[in-house]
Order: sequence, then structure tokens, then C-alpha cells
Amino acid sequence: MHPAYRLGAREALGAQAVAMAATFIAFGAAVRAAGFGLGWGLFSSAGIYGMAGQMVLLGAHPGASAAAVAGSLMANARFLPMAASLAPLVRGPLAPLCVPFISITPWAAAMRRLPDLPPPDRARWFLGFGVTVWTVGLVATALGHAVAGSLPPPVLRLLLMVNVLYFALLIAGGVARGGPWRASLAGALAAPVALLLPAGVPPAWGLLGAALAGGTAAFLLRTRG
Amino acid sequence: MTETPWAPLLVAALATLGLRAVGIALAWRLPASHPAIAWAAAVSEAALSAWVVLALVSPGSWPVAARLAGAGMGLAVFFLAGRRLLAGMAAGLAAVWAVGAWLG
Repeated sequence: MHPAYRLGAREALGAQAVAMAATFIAFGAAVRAAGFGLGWGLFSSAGIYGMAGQMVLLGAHPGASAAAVAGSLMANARFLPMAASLAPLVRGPLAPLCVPFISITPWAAAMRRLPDLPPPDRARWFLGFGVTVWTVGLVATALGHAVAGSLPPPVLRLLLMVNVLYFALLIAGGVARGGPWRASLAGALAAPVALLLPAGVPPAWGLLGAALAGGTAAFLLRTRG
Repeated sequence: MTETPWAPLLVAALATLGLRAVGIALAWRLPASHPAIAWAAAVSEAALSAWVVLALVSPGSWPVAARLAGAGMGLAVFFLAGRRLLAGMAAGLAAVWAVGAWLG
């Protein structure tokens, strides 16, 4: 196996694996609490592989299938710009294999790591990293489904905080190193706009609006060079 | 017993895969320095930080004060410990739990 696969896989087994595991254990437990089987939970984690969309489908009202699908897609709409921004880094014969593994955690790690790697190694690193955290997500979903009911509510609620803290630190670490601080700052500043949405508007719209407004502002204010 | 909604899951999984594939396809021929790539990256980074801020301040399962204390403690320990993510996350979780318990 090419060393770049192994490097990606090894680098996935740190804080990101912990954050993924915590989120997907909570999801597995929620699937069981909703009365759904392990197969449904695993297919959701494997196939949708984006927690915001997975939660929309899980919480959908029976009989509102079209709305559930649209809501799930909306919640994961950021995958489109994420994939586009990743494309120049993984371009090549292995890029189609990377597609199913594009999700927030591997994307965020890749955007910070891949520019330092030689171009021929990048798609391999992404596959090594992506397949590893995806597998962690599946195992954690099964674990959460198995232990649902025996997890005390405060532990479940803490599990949901792990990913928030992970990304907060990842962003802060990137900003402190001179990373994409304009976009991170603009997104954070635009976020409260989402709280002003009238009742009944899905939260995904607010997030998307904040991302488009903040991201576009940061793009226009960027220094070319 | 709830009927398991397989059909919407299958459709949503295919559509989500499509989102990823369209993103890659749209950018396939563009050079890394193209403004459209820079814009997509900026929107994606903004989406991530906006999501974190909303997860910290929207109504949720922990009091906002507990979540903000957790983020503050996590950041402090992260930087003091030489940017160790796991140390920051552990300290942040402990702070969320402690402040949450204290606030009742």
C-alpha cells in the first residue's frame, strides 16, 4: 500500500476520530430511540455521511418523505462548495473514489493538510483519512445503537458537544496560524443572522445564508496574490 | 411501531452523493487559483465557523453559559498545551459539564 494512504489513515486516528465517534454514537442511540433498526442507522451513516442531513431524516414526520429528503439535502448543501474547493487538491484518477468520503471532518482536515503534501500523494492521503473516519462513523453508529438506553442523558448531551469543541479548536488553531481567518471570522459574525429567522423556517436555511453572506464577504475582501 | 422510512433515506443518500459529485465536477477543469475555487472555499469555511457559533449560542441541550464556558476553557487549554486538540476537547467538555451542573 502506498505510504500516503497509511499517513492519511494514521492522521485520522486522533482528535477527529474521537469527535466522529462521539457524534455517531449519539446518532446510533437516537436511531434506536426512534424505533429504527441498526441497518437503517448504518445505511444513513454510510450513505448520507453528513450528520446534519442524517438528523433531519431521523426527525422527519412519517408521510412527509419529500420534505424530509429536501430538508436533508439542504442541511448538507455545504458539501457542494466543499467538494468544489477540494477538487483541485485531489484531481486525478483517484478523485472519483474520493467523492463518497467528502464530509465536513475529512474536508476540514484535508484543506489544512493537503497543501503541504506533494500533489501525487494528496488523493491517497484523502482516501486513507476519509475511509478511516467513515469506518469510525459506522462502528460508532453500531455502538451507539447497541448501548442506547444505558447511556445516561447527560452523557448523551455531552457527546453532542464533542464535535462542536473539536471544530472550534480546529478553526482557532487554523486562524492562529494565518489560515483562512477572513472566511472563518466572517462566517462566525454572520451566524447570528440565522437566529433572526422567523419561526417555521428550517435552521439549515439560516446556516446556508450565513455561509453565503460571510463567505462571499470574505472572498470579496481577500488579498489576491 | 414506526414504519422504517427506507425510501427517503435511499433517495437522500443518492442526492447527497450527487451534491459531492457535482461539486467535484464543477471544479474539475478549474485551476486551483481560480476565483470560483476561492469563493467555494470561503463559503465552506464560513459554513463551518457559522455552524460552530450556532451550536454554541442556539437554544440547545446545555445552557448557553455552559457551552460558552466550555469553548473558552477548551480554547485556553488547547493553546496552553501546545495546540493539543484532545487536551482542549477534554477540558472543554469538563467545563460544559461542570458549569451545566452548577447552573442546574
